[in-house]
Amino acid sequence: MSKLSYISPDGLRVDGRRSNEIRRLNIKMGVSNRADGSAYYEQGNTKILVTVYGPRESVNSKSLYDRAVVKCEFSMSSFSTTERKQRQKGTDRQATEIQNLIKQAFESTVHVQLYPRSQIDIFVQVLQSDGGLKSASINACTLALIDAGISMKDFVCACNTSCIDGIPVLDLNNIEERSGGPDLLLSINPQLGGVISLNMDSKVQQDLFESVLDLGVKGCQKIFTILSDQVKRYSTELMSNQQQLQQS
Amino acid sequence: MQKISNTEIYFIENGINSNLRADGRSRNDYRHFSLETGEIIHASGSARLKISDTEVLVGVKAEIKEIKNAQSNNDKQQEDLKRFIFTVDCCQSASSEFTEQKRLDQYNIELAKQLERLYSHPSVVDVDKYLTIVPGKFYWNLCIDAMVLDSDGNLLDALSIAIRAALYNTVLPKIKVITSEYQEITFEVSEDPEDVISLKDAIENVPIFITLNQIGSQSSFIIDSTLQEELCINSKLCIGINQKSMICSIQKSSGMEGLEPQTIIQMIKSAKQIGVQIISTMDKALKLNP
Amino acid sequence: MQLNKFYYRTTKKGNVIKVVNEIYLRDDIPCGHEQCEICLSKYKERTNSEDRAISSGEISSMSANQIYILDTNVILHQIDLLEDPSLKNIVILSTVLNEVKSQNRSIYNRIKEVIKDISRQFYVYANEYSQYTSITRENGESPNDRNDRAIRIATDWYRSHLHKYQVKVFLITNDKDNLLKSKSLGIDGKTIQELVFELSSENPSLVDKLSDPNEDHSGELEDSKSKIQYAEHRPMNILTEDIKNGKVYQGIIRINMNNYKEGNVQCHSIEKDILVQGLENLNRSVDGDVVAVELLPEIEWQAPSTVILLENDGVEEDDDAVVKDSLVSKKQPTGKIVGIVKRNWKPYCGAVDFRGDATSQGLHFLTFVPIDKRIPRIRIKSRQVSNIVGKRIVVAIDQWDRNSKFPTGHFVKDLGPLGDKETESKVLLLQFDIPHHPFGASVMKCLPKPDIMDRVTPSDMVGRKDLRKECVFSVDPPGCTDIDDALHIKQIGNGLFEVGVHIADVSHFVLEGTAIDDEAKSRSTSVYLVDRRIDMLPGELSGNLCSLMSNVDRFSFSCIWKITDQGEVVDVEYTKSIIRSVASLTYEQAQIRIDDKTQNDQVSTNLRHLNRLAKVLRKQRMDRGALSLASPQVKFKTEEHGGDPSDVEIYQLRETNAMIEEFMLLANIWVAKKIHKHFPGCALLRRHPTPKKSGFDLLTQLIENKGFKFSTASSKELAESLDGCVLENDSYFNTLCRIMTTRCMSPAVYFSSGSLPYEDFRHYGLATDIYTHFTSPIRRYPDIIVHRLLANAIGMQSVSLNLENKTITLMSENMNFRHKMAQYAGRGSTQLHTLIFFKGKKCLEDAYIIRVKANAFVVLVPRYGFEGTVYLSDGHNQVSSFNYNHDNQTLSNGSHTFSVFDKIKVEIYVDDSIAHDQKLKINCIEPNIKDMLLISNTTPSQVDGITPTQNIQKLIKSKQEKVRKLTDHTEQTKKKIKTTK
Repeated sequence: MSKLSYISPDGLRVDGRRSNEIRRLNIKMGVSNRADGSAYYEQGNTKILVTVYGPRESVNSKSLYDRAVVKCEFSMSSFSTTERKQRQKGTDRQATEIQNLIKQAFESTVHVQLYPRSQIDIFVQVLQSDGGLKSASINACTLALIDAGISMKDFVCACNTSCIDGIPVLDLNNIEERSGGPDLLLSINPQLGGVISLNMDSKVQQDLFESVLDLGVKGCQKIFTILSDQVKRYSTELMSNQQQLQQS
Repeated sequence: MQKISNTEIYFIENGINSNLRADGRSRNDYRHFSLETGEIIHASGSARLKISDTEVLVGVKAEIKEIKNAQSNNDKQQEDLKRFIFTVDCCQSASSEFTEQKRLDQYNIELAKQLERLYSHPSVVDVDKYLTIVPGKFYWNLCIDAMVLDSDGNLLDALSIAIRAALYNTVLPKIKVITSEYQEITFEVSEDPEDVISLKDAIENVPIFITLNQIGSQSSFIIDSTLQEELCINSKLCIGINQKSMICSIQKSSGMEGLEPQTIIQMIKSAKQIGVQIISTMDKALKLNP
Repeated sequence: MQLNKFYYRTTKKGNVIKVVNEIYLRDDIPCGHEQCEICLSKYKERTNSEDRAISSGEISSMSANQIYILDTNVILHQIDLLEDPSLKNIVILSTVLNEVKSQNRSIYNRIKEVIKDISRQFYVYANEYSQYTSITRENGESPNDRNDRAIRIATDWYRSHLHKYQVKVFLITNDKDNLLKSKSLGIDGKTIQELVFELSSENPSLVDKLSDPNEDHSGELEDSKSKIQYAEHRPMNILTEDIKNGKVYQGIIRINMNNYKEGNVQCHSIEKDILVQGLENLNRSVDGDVVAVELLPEIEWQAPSTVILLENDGVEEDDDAVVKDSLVSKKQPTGKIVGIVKRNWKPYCGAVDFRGDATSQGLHFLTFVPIDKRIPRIRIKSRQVSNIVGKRIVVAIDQWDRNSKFPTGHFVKDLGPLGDKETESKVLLLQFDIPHHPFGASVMKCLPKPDIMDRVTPSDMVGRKDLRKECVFSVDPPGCTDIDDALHIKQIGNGLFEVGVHIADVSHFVLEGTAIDDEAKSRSTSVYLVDRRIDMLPGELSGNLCSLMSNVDRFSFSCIWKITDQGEVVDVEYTKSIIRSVASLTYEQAQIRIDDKTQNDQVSTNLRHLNRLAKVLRKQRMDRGALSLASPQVKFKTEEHGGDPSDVEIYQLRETNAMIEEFMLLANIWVAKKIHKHFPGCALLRRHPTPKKSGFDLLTQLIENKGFKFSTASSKELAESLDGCVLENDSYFNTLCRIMTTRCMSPAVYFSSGSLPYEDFRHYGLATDIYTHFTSPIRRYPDIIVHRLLANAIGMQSVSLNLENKTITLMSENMNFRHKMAQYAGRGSTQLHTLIFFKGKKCLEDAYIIRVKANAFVVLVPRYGFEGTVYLSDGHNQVSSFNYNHDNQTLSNGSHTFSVFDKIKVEIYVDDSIAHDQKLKINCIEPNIKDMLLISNTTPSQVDGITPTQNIQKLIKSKQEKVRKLTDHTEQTKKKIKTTK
């Protein structure tokens, strides 16, 4: 028997959510004046700041003649985790992994061919980490890219799901991530319906996998509704501000 | 590296000489700033400071430090005496100045060292009262990690203000020391998470930096410079000031030109004035919104 | 609504860190009352059908117009009461449940069982997650106070919430302070006593189950003589500090089986066990408790006593002096218990010692004598004496006061009349914690249709080899209904044989993660008692669908070898298959077929081939150094089914037994190799640790005293030595040596291959490097796991397992525990039947001395396969005329010396002079030494070298000594009278 029971008999998880509920999302767009696009994203206690620069001229000569290059820098603050960790840039494996994940996800979603010979820089800064880092980073990047006005085919919405005690659960927090269940990271294009990335690092029964995946898709859709609402609200706000400016 | 044209320099210098800066401030005006504490709940204390576009986030994490051999060599002893560990991390995205990794690293270290020099004096925080667990053996070490999220000049001052606020926000759990027969020491934390020691009262003497930049004519200097202004600095003087308007450190950093002692005196005078003002405003605000 | 909770904790490295957890507070947690539509509609609106499916069937709802909310102390103290089905409509708050969980794991599990039972209408309300009832700790509030407040707030919410439905809400608490505070909030509070007395008009038995922790018993029963003052236990916070700084040691107390006034505390921090002697030093600790023990100064250290203490009869004993016959050389760290970290009180089986008028009414104070000798007597109160006396009952301890010699407890359950076979068997099952409840509905739902084997679909046949044409047969004991294994053999030319071992494909029907799988996992093994069997799997599977009966199609898991006639395996194949057995033989039938040269049908010929091959394999195994060990096994003959035993016979082993065993071993070894190859980190294997040489020291000396060479350097040498131990005039001597060798070794255990280095995989007794259990999946759970592993290894099973070293290790711990318990229960059952068998008989039998103690010796009676103790004295107030020699293990009084291996004649009969105290007695008849006072009781035969930690008969004690003293006394008085005359 596991020491912790992750799901109570009446179906509540350690933090009081039900198995198919995501954590509270708190989103702010356009938080940085200097950057071309930025977003501050909170999913529960995971807090992420993303800034986007570009499309801009490539600094080094690695530009491609027919499309833009997406670059990503991921860093975590030393106080973001429960135990302080001093991170060395360039040697952090986790950072490198997430950087590649984000790069790949967005190179396939951004209309890169519209911006030849240029690069798009994404900076992901984790202020606080409480589980679901990868998925939260991807969601935050989507918002920042939208804020930057970069043309994209669709949103990229990501969500992590797992299966604890045989029950598929959505959006794990830090405690649940350590439960040892399979951790499935899913990111999709919610409107086009394609799966962008799918990572799982444990064995799981196939039928169980299907239900976990199913839940993951539902979670991404749920996140999508929240994100798109936020984007709509943000853009109407921007528009009304502009109108006010014009009037005055 | 951002570049600036000669005409721009001319514009800024002239503005400063006539006590009217590009954003409408006079030489001794500080920009509005906002301070937010306790945002990072994972940390023992935290503060976020925004001065215009300059945005820094400071997290304080307390760790227990064991001093193995009090009678070891001198260098080590020096190291052991440090109760504060500073790191500064300027995000690459924060400024176009920071794109080059090597320069960025140097800059980070430079800032951290400057801060460390200001705070490492034992009189800054009463170590015996607040940070000692077992005298001579176990101490709290405060890891102060600062992140520069966005930069529009005056970083060092911003960092020092944020650190002061973060320390104000810092709480340490109360610790019960248990000594075993074999002098082995283990700790026990109080079950009540509210049973803590706040550093609120310990920061009275914690200083902040006031950086004065001399631009244009010898006698004209400004505080709270913007990024643009920092590009045409002749020389720079960083002064650490505490609540009692005492000077805790002075540092003339690598400017192109020298400074006349007369100007330095003047600079110190205004730094004192402004420093005390900022500290008292800040303390008032912190007390109102704990 | 979201908020953060944080706390500080220390890390392993000694740092202090802050841990932050997020908590979401909800407004849609249903209150659980049927009539409340608000909650129900909100709940339905917020959750979809899938969520509800997760929790469906597990959540009770309440219906009555009076509901009760329990405080933690009520659950902790009154769990027996709560298990009574007449208590209904109870709300358990999650705060309370968590408190229970952290304070007493076993009570937590019991209350969870109650909650699961829908008919009980216990509802768990997650008050900590509800925005109406969640509270945060106030400044300076202790965790306890905070929880009490949380309970009050939740009760208050319930009251106002259910007000409009005319439902009354009561807080049931025995905490006076909490009661007072809740009354000031306007909550109706009651103590559990008040509640029970209200309900007792309908159900009087409830009152007895009430535990009375607050009532003061002292003085009520104490007679001035036995006024004992135990030292006060140190409070918890001081203890934790003392433990941390090493002033006291923490460990689990284990009371000595043979001497209830002595115990050992095993500590991690100290190498040797700490000895605790005397009731005062034991300081109210009960076997199994986690205690804090303080070491005595080294000069006060003692050696464990070597006597067997007769009576757990505290009231009559007037001193607590420990018998000081300790040997100076064997001194051990000795300590005294200064506090209890955690009680591990369980319900105990036993009977009351009552000699008064059983028909009298009213409240009685009784003394309860547990079967387990290590548990002290318990004082209980009862209003129904006539119902309790003469019964086996279960009693739970409530508390143990400082000034009370014995703990006080309360009646829990009546098991049936004393000495009754049914009752005593039930006691055995309870005592050894064997799950024996009938299979639940959810388990039965997992069963396939009984005719499934008649309709084998092609999808069932995927990957299955059709072996229905092969001549497969099974050989088992007579009356066997759960046939696990079957064999086939055929000659395939070139001097090669194809041999197949076919094992019932249980994992085909028992799928991982299903209710039936969970049930089997927790049972872990079938338990065989003399007159009954407690199945691991429901009868439909074990006796029919899985059982490889003759002339029906059955799924099996086969292991097929190509073997030369020299026993060399050339090729092996593992496959799932379908077989149709042609014959289900008994060992006897098979033996007859082999021996009867006139029978030349296919089955008989094949049997002969198998037998020949088995002998070759056996020889190879013996050459490698496999041990052939022995354990005294007997079989009871009963007149009719379920009747009393009418005769005892030694279990007869035929050549065919060895033949089947040989092929099962072969299959187990080859499967072990295969699964280890595919799952090096998490294969479930079985190992038999190489015994420590020191364990053999005494035995070596004893056997060498007899004039034999005895070497234990390797299993091969040991096997050879054992073969050499033959006495011309005593054929049993060799068996005796083997039995005693077995006892010097630790038992074989299951383990996960990831947790040990390969060298430690070795099975010492079988002399093989790697071993597992594959061949009995119907009655052993490990075999099912091994089947799944093997199916995975051959790519048959698409379903992946939750395979990890950790889970397999955890599983094997449970399997080892259950296996041990099953063995104990089996022995206990044999003992019980022995007792029944000897009722009204008096037999003279040969017996061998196998162990010598200072005041007694233990004998083994080969004819009946049991052991018993023959006492020379009762241990304390009488000086024995015998001298005990520890080194040589002899007892001598000059004219006669008793030593190990001596053959003596004993008289066996049942002493039923005291109704609740029946037991077997053994008297030494030859040599008959007059002043030898022979009282004995039996202990079960020991198999596999385990000393049973608990057994019934040992606990039922004789009073003969007292009787004898009395008669002596009367005789003396008579003499005196005569002389005065």
